Amino acid sequence: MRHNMIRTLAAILLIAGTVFQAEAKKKVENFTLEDYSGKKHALADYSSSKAIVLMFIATQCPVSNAYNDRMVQLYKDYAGKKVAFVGINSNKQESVDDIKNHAKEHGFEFPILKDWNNTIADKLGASVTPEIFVLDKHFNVLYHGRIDDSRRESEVASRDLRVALDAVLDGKKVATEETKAFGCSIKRVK
Amino acid sequence: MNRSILYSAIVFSIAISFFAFGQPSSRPDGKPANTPAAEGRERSFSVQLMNASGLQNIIHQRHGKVLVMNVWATWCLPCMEEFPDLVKSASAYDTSKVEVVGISLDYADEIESKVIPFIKKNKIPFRIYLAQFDSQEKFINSVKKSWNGAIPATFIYDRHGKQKISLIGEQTFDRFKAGIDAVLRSK
Repeated sequence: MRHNMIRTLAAILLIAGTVFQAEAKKKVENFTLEDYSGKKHALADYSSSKAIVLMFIATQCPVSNAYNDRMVQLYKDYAGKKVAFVGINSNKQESVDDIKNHAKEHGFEFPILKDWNNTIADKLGASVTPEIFVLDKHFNVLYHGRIDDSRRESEVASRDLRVALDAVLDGKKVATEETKAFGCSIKRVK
Repeated sequence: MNRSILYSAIVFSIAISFFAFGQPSSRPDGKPANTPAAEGRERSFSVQLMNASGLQNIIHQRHGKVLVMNVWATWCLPCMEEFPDLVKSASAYDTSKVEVVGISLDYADEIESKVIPFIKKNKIPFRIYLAQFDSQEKFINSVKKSWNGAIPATFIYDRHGKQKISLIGEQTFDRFKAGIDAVLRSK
């Protein structure tokens, strides 16, 4: 009888543990990277924001580049609402000068950090450019995936990042927390 | 122009013919590769639009052959870099035992301007399809739910259409060969 109770209790704990694990949000550890000017940026620097948008981007990837104007517009639309935007370049073949020139050419007003040795891309599990992680001030991942559903802006049907940010700003749960980012594979050091 | 009208205009299959200049590649069994390109004959290449049912047909109509399905795009640099090794792998096996296909994630209106020139330039000896799904996510999930969609990606199916190996990221000839050989050996 006692053994049965213990087994039942163990089963309940196991199930509860599994459910809890499934519900637990992925959390990003604080990190520090330099931007193309050599200035250090820690994730903690943005912890007063309502949301932090980490954008893995590239200078040479045609898909990432197709989103340049959309990223600029996103920044304009949400930066004033206390949403922080941080670009991250993890591509091994793209230099700091490449990143600087690219940012100036396309009018990026948000910082772009160089992720040498793709350390942060590895930690977050970023695979492609563009790929987005939206964090809360505690660095919990609220949304991960694409900016929207089409490389061609004229064919966009689902503006996933905007929908996620609007939900966060409204204090609501993000309905679709995960979409599949598409783009160029991040060129990693081997 | 409405996309569906555009696709209709492109027609369901765009076929082009050109001369292939490939030379026979050596195979593990030492026999000449049995591909039209390797034999130096004129051959026909087609780029076909492929929807969800088309994908299932490709996977399941195996006729006893192992399937090597490579997902790529002309905008994908690592895809471009691995293609010579994929072509070499395709030429290294008897086409009655191993079928290689490429699935491009380019747009349909880029077939003539980008996809076909790439096929010609690389003398690709296998069939190329162009994914036509409602969204890229639907295509990704149709291939493999746990795949994050990063390309290049190569999926190897056994003779019964069961996905056995996923090779995500840029591969080499040796890695392709190891994967294909493993699936050929499987029951």
